Amino acid sequence: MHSLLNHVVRFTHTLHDAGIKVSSSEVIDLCRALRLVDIGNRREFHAASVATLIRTHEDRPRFDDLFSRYWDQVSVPGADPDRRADDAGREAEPPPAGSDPAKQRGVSSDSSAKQESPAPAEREPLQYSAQETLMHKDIGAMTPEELEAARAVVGELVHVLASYRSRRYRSEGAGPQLDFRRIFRRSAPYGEYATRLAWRRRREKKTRLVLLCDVSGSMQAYSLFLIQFIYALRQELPQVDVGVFSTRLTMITDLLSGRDLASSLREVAERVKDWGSGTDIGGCVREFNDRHAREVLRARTLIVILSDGWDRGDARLMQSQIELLTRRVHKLIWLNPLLGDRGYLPLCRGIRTALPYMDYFLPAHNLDSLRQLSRTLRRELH
Amino acid sequence: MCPDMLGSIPEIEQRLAGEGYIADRELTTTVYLAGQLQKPLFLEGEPGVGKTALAKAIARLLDTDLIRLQCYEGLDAQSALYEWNYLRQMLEIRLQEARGIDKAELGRNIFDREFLLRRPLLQAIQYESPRPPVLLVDEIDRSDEEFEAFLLELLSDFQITIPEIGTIKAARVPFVVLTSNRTREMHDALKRRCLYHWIDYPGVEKEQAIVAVAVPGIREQLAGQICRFMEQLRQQDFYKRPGVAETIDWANALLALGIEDLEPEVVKSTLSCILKYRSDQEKLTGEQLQKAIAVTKNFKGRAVGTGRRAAI
Repeated sequence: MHSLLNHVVRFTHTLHDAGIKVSSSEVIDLCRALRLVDIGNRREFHAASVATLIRTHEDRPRFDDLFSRYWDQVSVPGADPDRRADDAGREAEPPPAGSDPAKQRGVSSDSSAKQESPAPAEREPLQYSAQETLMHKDIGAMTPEELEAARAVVGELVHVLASYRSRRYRSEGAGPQLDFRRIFRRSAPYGEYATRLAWRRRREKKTRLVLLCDVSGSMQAYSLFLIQFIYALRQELPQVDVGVFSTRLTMITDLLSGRDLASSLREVAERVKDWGSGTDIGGCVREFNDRHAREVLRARTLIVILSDGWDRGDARLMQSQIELLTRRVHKLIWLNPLLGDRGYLPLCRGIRTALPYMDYFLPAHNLDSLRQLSRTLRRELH
Repeated sequence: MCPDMLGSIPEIEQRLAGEGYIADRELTTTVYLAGQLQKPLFLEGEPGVGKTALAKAIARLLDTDLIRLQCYEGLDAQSALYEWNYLRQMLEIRLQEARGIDKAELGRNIFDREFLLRRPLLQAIQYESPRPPVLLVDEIDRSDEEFEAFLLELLSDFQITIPEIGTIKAARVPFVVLTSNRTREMHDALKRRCLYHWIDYPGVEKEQAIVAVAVPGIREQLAGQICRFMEQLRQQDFYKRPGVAETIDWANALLALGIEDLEPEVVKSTLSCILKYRSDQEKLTGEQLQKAIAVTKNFKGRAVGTGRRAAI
């Protein structure tokens, strides 16, 4: 039994190395489960492991791969090799002669790292340096006065959002429902009942904010300003989710909570590989819909897209994806830096495609336009 | 719950099938473990793959009640757990006054259990029968985070405290099933309390078995055509892909219409059974529809003798 326990723990370490998080309580669950199933039966053993260790469907292919790599190579006490072969869904790999488990663990975690999808960008730390200098140069371009002014506007914006949060508990007033608890409490001193009616209303729901920022080549001139803005917003208001896109969408919410802007930006540059390249709005919105929407969207979510709408992707894809997105969010606000130009007409294809789905189409090129944004948000959030 | 009521893993598989639910070995193992370890079962999957149906089948298998809590955004403890029946309390006091009951005694009993409106979660905890109920918390992804946190607390010790009465602890732990359509990700802590299982769309053969059980009287040929057609639909990019529930609806509809063979006209006129959005229905136009039906039928032609290979 000890040897099995050993292997279970090793196996969960292997999972951990491959990015599937397993806590010790789950290992205990698995051990309890293994007492109940026939561990000589591969299918039952596998089902018990899946049920206790996996918490999201996306981990499943990786899990199955690691499972067969690990368990089809060790000999489990009590297992009947013939039955295992019968039960195995796929062919088990032949066990390497005289292999010790520790070595195996190294092997499986290594190869799993190689196989992993390229999504987590932290695995390629060698590409970012050029972009990093670019971004630092951008930061230098902003004068201290401008920075200070930007902070003030953001402060105002944050005030709008934060004061909204504290107000949502105010539930008295003329609500649609009688509040009996309060009615009796109030009438208690007078010995009568229902001297004055009290009402209650459902608590207002939280409105969440999701920002998707275009960082493609055509937006380069504005990206610094916008990132500054987003950083400040995120610092003050933890319930904002932020993503940047050009040819691919990258969520950077977690990177913006650090104390230091420069190091946050460095991390952003490390993760965002397509900074300053072309634009595929449709594809990026689809990626958002498919991969991130259910994590960050609630029924009352304001989504803000910052983009000039210069799009080189598939217009029909963009239309269908934006339509899909607007079905799931409360309001779509589109900020366009070009809108600041007098005489700008929304003629480019991306904007024309998205225009019918926007609730607001606002400029975002300077501080004034951000003030306008804060007015709009104030209206929407209250 | 009593661990032995479910039976062994093959027994569960058999008995679920007897209740009209076709489950594979992995799912039945998970159900078995949920019963043995007394852990909630967390089922995720696309809408209409049979998550709720599994909870119902388990309730029938255990020969017990299904207590269902449908989640929605804004669901709070009062509608999920309990609420005092204020109107009855008020009337009780009036009645006591009218009966001339001593002032000191007046209203002494109004925080008694009889004035408690028991909502699903309290019902499940206070269930008085040797057979614990099945508690179905349906579409948990539609509730908000506050409720999720509340549920987490409840699921960890199956007891609740009502200030006026005291702590009520479940005599027997109910069999809990949580379902989620994944409109949002649930918190890890909640999932960690549960055994997780993802229910996928069934393959053609499994779906045909499901249809045969769920729609008695359907001809095998039509059932096969329906399931192959559905499998093709699911490979396409719809806003809402049809689930098994839609397959069963559709099979019922076709049976009621007395149809024996899938034809484009038939599919078109009954499309509302399987595709619930206009944009999706528009996507399945003439040419694509013809093609899908042709593939469905060709399969049948080749299926004679070489069915297995054609399936692969």
